[in-house]
Amino acid sequence: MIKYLFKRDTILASIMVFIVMGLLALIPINTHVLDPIKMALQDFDYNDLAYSQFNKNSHTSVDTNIVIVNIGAAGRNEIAGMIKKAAAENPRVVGVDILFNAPKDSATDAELEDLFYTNPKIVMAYNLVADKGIISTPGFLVEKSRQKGYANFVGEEGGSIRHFSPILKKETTVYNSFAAAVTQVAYPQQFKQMLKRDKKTEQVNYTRTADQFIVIDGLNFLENGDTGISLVDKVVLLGYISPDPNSIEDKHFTPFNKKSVGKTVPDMEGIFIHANIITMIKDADYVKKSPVWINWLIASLLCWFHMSLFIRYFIDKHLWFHLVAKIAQLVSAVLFVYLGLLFYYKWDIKINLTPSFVAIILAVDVLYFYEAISAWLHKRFGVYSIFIHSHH
Amino acid sequence: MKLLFSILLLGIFQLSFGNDISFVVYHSKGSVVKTFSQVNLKKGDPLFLKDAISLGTGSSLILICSNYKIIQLSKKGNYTIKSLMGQCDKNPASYSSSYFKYVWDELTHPHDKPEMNPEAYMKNIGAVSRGCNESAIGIKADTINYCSGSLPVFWWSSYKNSYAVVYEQILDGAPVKKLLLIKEKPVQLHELFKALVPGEYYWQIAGDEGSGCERNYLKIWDKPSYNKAIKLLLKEVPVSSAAETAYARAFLLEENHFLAEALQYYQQAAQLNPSNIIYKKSLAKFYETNF
Repeated sequence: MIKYLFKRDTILASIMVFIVMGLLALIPINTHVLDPIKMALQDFDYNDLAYSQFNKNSHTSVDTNIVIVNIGAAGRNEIAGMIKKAAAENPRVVGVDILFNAPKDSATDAELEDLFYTNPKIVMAYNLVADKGIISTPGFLVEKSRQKGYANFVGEEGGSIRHFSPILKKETTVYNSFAAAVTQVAYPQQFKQMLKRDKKTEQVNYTRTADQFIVIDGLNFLENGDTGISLVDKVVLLGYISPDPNSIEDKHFTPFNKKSVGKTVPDMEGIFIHANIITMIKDADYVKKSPVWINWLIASLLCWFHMSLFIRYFIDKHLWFHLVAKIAQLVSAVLFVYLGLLFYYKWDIKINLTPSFVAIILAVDVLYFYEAISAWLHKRFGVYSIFIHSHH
Repeated sequence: MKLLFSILLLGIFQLSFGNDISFVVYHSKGSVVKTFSQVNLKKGDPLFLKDAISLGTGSSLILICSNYKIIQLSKKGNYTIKSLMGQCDKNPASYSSSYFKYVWDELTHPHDKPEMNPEAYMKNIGAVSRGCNESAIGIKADTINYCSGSLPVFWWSSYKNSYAVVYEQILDGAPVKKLLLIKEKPVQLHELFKALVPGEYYWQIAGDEGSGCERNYLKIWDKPSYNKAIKLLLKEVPVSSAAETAYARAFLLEENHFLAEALQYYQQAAQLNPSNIIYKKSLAKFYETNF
């Protein structure tokens, strides 16, 4: 392998791999059109395995800063009562993760409107609709509420929720996400820190599953009051948690889902995803992404080493070339996934190893192409090449 | 061959990264221009949703929809592309055309990632919904007492075509009356309720297939009973200034679901005291457009 590492052909063939990658990236055709595997894996991220298979963050303690009030089957009247009662206990903020689509009962609606309008500690969730650049916020009470945030996550429709958009700027209007709006009220400093990052999207750092949050029953809280949990100085979130594990109401796919690919049922309620995001912003515990130049540097080095190995077998032991190449690709793939997951699991660092993968996969085909070009260049201009002067 | 291949690639490239094309011009004869740019249209020109076109006398234009349906225009006049979209049948003609359309769409749909363009990937809402979100109206109209009088109500729906429909039953049953609604125009409930004999009904805003939110209760009164009920209600209102009295009457009537009368009194209160914000706001509910 070392024998060919510093040969001009090895370096040029490696460069050619990246040229081919660049050309392929320019082709706007989605070649996966009839590829069921690619289609099935469209919403797949290797890092999900860190949660679903290797129980990342399973050791994290219960978050005592957030209390989730499960509204269950409560009607508007009871919901208004829960908000009022929670707000009276002097929490940092009360986040209401419920969409009120239309007016219903004038007395209760007026009570809700009054709560959302007058209390600056109550944050209302709403649905943000972005259609061809035009933003609208349908729903009842949205315009009238003082503190509000959109409850939308970022991801394929019905796909796994990995990202959220902290804020959305449209001309002069700034829309806060629900988690950002809650944090703005509860932890203004951390909110400012998040804004400073100036990211269009942030990856959700899932530190806790549903079991790692404190949940109280809303109706019980409303009727009996004393739940044994103080809400003073807490982030109180009102949302729906179904008692039926097969219910899909406000449930979403997350990296915690045990089945990473294929047909399965959603695994986490929206309120827990918001809670994870709020914790992430509060603790400034963001997922770090490796810089693009590092990704490409790793890809270049790995491609160069692999190319040197492939050339060695291509020239010296051609009989074994394909077998060695396939084994090298397989071993590299296993090793890269391991390393990528390790960084994510241990240090929340996400390294994009896709360029490395693609480079190594393409290296074998590009090698044949490079050999043909070398032969042509040699014939036409007499250019020296190890492929011409060594026989296999 | 090389040239053809290059043109094909360029075409695909443009389609993949460009805006969504609504139509492609297949044939153009005479004076057919884009209204804003005054550019004459020719074969192969793309037309987008924001465009408008103008056809002169004796001109004709053949357009191909994104689902390959053909539309022919030969009447002089101005057309917006948005208005022509309805003529594109969404259902392709055959299995073969469906298959090749699918392949083509998959091959050419824009390359995008949620991280790069979050706005396009914000369809997952992490909140539970309370109340129907398929349609809404600007006022609280789950019950309406009606006899006569104008009652325009703004509405919103997620249906492609929306109808205001009256039924005799709270569930199922054939519609008694049906009114096609025009987007961004109020539903004229007095038109819908016209000619209904006194009795109890239910109404809703529904889509093409009749699906809709919970039906609203409607009581059509005969004139004498209606007048008597209103008189009885208004008797309770204490008389103060003209504007205040009108507002109090409107509020009481609205609370008791006599909406057509309530609207009249709200209008009266706002006219008598145009500087009063509460009067204006109450009246604005009937003309609400932002839900």
